[in-house]
Amino acid sequence: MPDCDKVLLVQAELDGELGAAEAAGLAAHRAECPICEAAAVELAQARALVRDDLYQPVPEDVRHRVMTALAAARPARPAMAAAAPESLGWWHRWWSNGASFGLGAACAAALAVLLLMPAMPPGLTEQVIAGHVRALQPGHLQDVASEDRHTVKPWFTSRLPESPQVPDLAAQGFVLMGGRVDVVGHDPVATIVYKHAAHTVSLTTLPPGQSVSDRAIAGYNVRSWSDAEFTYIAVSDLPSADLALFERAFSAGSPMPEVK
Amino acid sequence: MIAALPIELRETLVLRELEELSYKEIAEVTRMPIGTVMSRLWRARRLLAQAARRDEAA
Repeated sequence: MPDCDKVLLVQAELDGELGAAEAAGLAAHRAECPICEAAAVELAQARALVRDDLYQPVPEDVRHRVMTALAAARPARPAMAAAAPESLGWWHRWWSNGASFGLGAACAAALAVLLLMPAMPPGLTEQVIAGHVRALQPGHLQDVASEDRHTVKPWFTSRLPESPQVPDLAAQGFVLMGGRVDVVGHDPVATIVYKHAAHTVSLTTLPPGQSVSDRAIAGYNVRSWSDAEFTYIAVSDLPSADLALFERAFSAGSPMPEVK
Repeated sequence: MIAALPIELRETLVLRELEELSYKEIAEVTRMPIGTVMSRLWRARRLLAQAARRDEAA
């Protein structure tokens, strides 16, 4: 067994099992306990070993076979002219006879503006909504279920390089339910889950500076805002006015740094 | 390296590291007290770290 009775707490901290108060108390102990400090180093090494041992890369030949099979299963993109369906015939006739060249040029200019303007990569908002919808399925709502922000915030901190503030908004009618890690693009991101009456609000946090327009998709309202640390995307079946209230409550409710 | 661990330690370690279960979930799955989960994880990791040091020294 360990030589110091706090060593198992060091391990629990490594595994993201400690609350903020326990972690703060342990940090003070570790500063004075060489046994726990050495244990932390050893545990981190062991953890790296385990992950190397458990997560083996896929052999190159297997990867090649999978990618080949995927490519074969994907429908080939037809050539423009050959693939134009009958319904597009009018467009070709219209374009080729040049009758509306001015309007066509205007459309092309508008398309160019749309393509050049800074915006989120296509489908990113849809991915956030998909995460929300998936989470609404039984048993998927959150990875950490807690109404205590002192549990949810450290849970994110132990799993993600950047973790958002997790304010308690119960007084404003939005009860913290927990959090989960969603994958947007190729990156794991934090999603905080709140409940307002019978409605669930998923608040996904992306790197700052993203451009997301507020809108309704598939019956879900999307509201986005940014601060210096994150771009926030709130998704819910709440009316857009209530989501605006949520944004104000969240922006105003970020907790002050804790004094130890 | 993990394969060399005693089965009860290996089971706990895999549930934690591969399945990413919490201590509470591991305790429920294996019907062990959480304290036992923690001590088994500790022993498993300690044995792995010691084995790695032996490999490096050899």
